[in-house]
Amino acid sequence: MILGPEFRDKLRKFRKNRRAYASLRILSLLFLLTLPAELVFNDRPIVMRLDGHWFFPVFRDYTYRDLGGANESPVTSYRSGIFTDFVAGRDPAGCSEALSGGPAPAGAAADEVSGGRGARRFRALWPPIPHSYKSFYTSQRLIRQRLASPLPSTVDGMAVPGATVERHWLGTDRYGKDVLARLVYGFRLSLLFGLALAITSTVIGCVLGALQGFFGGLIDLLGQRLTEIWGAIPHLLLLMILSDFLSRKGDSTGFQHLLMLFVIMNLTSWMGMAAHMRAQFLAARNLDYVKAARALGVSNVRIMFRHILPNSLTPIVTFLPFSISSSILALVGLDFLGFGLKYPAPSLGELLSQGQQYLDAWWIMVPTFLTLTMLMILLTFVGDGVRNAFDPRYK
Amino acid sequence: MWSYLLKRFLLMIPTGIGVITVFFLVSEFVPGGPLDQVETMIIDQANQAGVGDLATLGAGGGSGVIAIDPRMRMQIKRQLGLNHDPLARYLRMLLWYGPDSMISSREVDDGFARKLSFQGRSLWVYRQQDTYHVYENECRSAGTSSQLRFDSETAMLVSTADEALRFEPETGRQAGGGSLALVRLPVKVRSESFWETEYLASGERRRVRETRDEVYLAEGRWAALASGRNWHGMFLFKFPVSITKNKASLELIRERLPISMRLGIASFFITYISCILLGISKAVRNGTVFDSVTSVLVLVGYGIPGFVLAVFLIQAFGPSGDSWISLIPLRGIHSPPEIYNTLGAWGKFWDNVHHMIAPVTCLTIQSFAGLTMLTKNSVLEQFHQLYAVAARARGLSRRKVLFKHVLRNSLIPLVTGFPARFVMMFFAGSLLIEKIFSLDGLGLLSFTALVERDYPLIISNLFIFTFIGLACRLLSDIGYVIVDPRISFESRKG
Repeated sequence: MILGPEFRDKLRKFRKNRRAYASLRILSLLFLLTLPAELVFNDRPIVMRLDGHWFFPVFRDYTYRDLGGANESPVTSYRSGIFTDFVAGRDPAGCSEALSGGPAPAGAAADEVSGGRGARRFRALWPPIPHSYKSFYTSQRLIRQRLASPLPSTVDGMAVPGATVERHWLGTDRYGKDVLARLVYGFRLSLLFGLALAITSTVIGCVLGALQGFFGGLIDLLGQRLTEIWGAIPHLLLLMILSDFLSRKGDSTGFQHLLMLFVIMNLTSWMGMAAHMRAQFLAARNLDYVKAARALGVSNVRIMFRHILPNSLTPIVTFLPFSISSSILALVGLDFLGFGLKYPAPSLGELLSQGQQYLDAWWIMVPTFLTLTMLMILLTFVGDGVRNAFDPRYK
Repeated sequence: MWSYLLKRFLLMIPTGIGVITVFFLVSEFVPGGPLDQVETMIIDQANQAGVGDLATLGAGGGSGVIAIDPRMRMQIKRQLGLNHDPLARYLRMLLWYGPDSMISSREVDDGFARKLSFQGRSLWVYRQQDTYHVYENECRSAGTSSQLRFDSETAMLVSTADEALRFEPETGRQAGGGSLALVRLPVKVRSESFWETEYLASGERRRVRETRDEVYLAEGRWAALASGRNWHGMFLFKFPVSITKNKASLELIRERLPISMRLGIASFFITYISCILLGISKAVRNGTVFDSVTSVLVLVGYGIPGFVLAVFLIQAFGPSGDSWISLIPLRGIHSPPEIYNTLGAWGKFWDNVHHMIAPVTCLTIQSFAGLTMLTKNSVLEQFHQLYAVAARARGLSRRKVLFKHVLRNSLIPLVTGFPARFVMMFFAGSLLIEKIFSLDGLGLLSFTALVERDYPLIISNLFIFTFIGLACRLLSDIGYVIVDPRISFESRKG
C-alpha cells in the first residue's frame, strides 16, 4: 500500500483526538467481543464427548446416527428431553424425535428400545449462556415463556420469577427467544453488514466516479444524467419496493435473503462516494503528474488506480464511518418496517419494532435503544475525528 | 443565468423520462410483476377469509383450484394497464394519446344487453356473438324522453315509460314497423388474448390462454383530442387510480399533505432558528467549555437516529403503564375527535402542539449538527476577513461587528439551502416517524400502499416525490444565484 508520510501524519492526528480514538477502540473491542457469539450464546454444547468420541455441535449439525443411534433424524435440540433420554439410554435410537416431526417409522421405536442399552458416557462443555438468537427452550420454571421480564414480579397476587432464573439476562421476546442473545448476534450482524456494504459501495462508487471524472465528456454527461435519475428516486421507498418484490417467493433461505438485501442496498449506496471521486478525478486529470504519466505512455487503468487513486484517499477515508452508519441504519430501518431480514435472523430493527409493539416490554426496548444509539454515536465520533484529521477544511 | 436555469429545466425532461423508465423496468422485470402481486394479495385475503367472494372455487372444487373471478381480474388488469402490450404500457406511463375510449371491462353475455355508465353517460351495450351494438340510454318519442330497460325474454330494449315502445337491439329500430330509432354510437372491437393464472392447491400456478373482446367507443378524433380525457401519462400528471382506495393518487396526496406540511414547517423553523442562534453563540465563545460541550451534544444528537428515538420516546414518556411519566400522546395528529371537538380554541392549539412535540423532536434531532457547525464556521471565517478585522481596528465592539457586518455575510451559505428546504418541508413525510406516531401523512401513505400492494399508488407516489426532489435541486441552484450574484453557472462547468 502506498501510504505517504502525509497519510501517516493524518493518522497520528486522528489518534491524538482522544474522543474519536477512544470510540474507535470501544467499537473494535465490542466487535471482537461479539465475533465469537456462537461460543457464548448458544443452546448447543461447544464440545461434547459421547462414548469416547468427540463431537462439536456448535460447528456441525449431527444426526442421531452420527452420535451412535439408529435414527437418521437430525438432533434439533441438545436441551430437550429427547436428547436427554437418548444420552441416558432410555431411547437409544433417538426415536422420540418422530414426535416432534422427525421421519422415524412408527414401529421402529419399540424394536430399538427392546434392543436398547444402558446410559452413555456423556460429558459436555456448554456455553455460559444456553440460548442462541433462534433457540426456543420451554422451561418449567418460567411461568410465562414469551415476553418474560427479567425482573420478578407479581401478577394477580402470584409471584412470577424473573427470566434470569433461566439465564435470560434481558428477558425474552414475543417468540420466547432470548433478548440478550438476539442483541449480541444482531449487533454483530449489523456491524458486519454495515462494514461490508460500506466497502462494496465505496469500491463501486470509486470505480464509477473515477470513470466519469477521468474520461469526462460523453461518459461524464451520461453518467451524470444516470446519477441524477437514480438519485432523485426516494431510496427508502425504492429499497422497500425491491425487497418486497424480490422476497415474495418464499423459498429463499435466510442467507440468500440477506445476500439479496445486500445486493439491492448496494444499488443505492454508492452515490455519494461516486460524486466525490468524480470531482477528485476531474481535478486530478489536469495535474502535472498525471500529464507526465500519460506522456510516458502509462495505461489509463494504471494512471487511475496507481497514480490518482492513492492521492484521492481523503474522501474514501472520511466517508467510510458515515457510510457504515448509514448502511446500518438502512438495514435497521428496513427491518423495523418489516421489509428486511426474515424473522429468525437476529436483527436490531426487528427488536425495535417489538419494543414499539409491546410498550410494556421495557427489557426489549431500552437495551435495543441503548445498543443502537451507542453504536451510532460511537460511529459518529469516529467519523467526526476522521474528518477533522483528514479534511483540511475542518480545523 | 436565465439560460442556465432554462437548460436545467429542460434537462429535467430526460431525467423524468429516465425515472419513469426505471419505475417501468422495476415493475416489469421484477419477478412476479404487478399483476402477480395483486393476485397474491387477493389469494391471501381469500385464504384468510376462508375463500370469500373475492376468489371463487374453480370447476374442480374438489381438487382445490382457486381461480380469481375473470371479471375481477380484467378490472384489475385494466386498472394496472396490463391489457396492453409492454411498449404501449410504457408509453402510457410516459405520455400517450389514445383516440379510443374503452367502454367497459365487463363482458356482455351473448344475446344480452348491459347498461353501463361511461364518462357520465348512460349506455346500453348489446352483444350478438362477435358484434356489439351500443346505444344511448334514451328513447325520444314525440317530445318526451324516457330511459330504456332490457327485456331478456323477448330480447328487446323497452322504454321504461311506455311498454309499447320496443326496439330491436340488432338494429336499434322500433319493433313492429315504427319509425323511431335509438341513438347508435360507433364502436370498435378489439380482441385481446391474455394469460389467465390458475392457482392449484399444491401452490403451483398454471397459465391458461384466453381471448376476450374489448369494446371501444370510436369517437371523432378531434373531439377526443380536445376533451383531454384520452391523454395518459405521468408527464401530464395523470396518475393511475389507487386500487385499494379507489381514488386518484393526486387527490390522496392532497388529502395527506396538510399533516406532512405541519410537521415540515415546524421542524424547518425550529431547526433554522435554533441552529443559527447556537452557531453564533458557539462562534462567539469559540474554544470555551460551552463550545466544546455543545459540540459534543450536537454530535450526539446527530448520532441518534430519529426513528429509534421515536420508539424510545413513546415507551419512556408515552401513556403506557410502564413508562416513567406520561408526557406525550401515543399516536395521531390530535386527540380523537370526540375529545378534540369539545376543546376550545386554545385547547385545540395546545392539543396539536402536544401531539407534535415528539415527532418534531425526532425529525429535527439529526439535522442540528450540520447547520450549527456550518453557521459557526461561517461566522468564524467572516470574523477573520479583512473588513471585519478593519472594523474591529477602528474601535467597534465585537458585538457591533458581529451584528452589523459579519452576520449578514456569514448567513449566505445557510440561505442557499433555504428554498430547497422550504419546498421539502411541505413534503417532509418521514416514512418511519409517521409510521411510529401514526401520523397520516405522505410517508405513511406510501407505506400503506406498499403493504397493501397498491401498485398504481406506489408508482404515482414515487414519481411525485421524485419530481419534487428534482424541483428542489433546481430551486437550490436558484437560491445560490439570488443570494450570491457572483456565482455564475456558465463558467462553472465540469
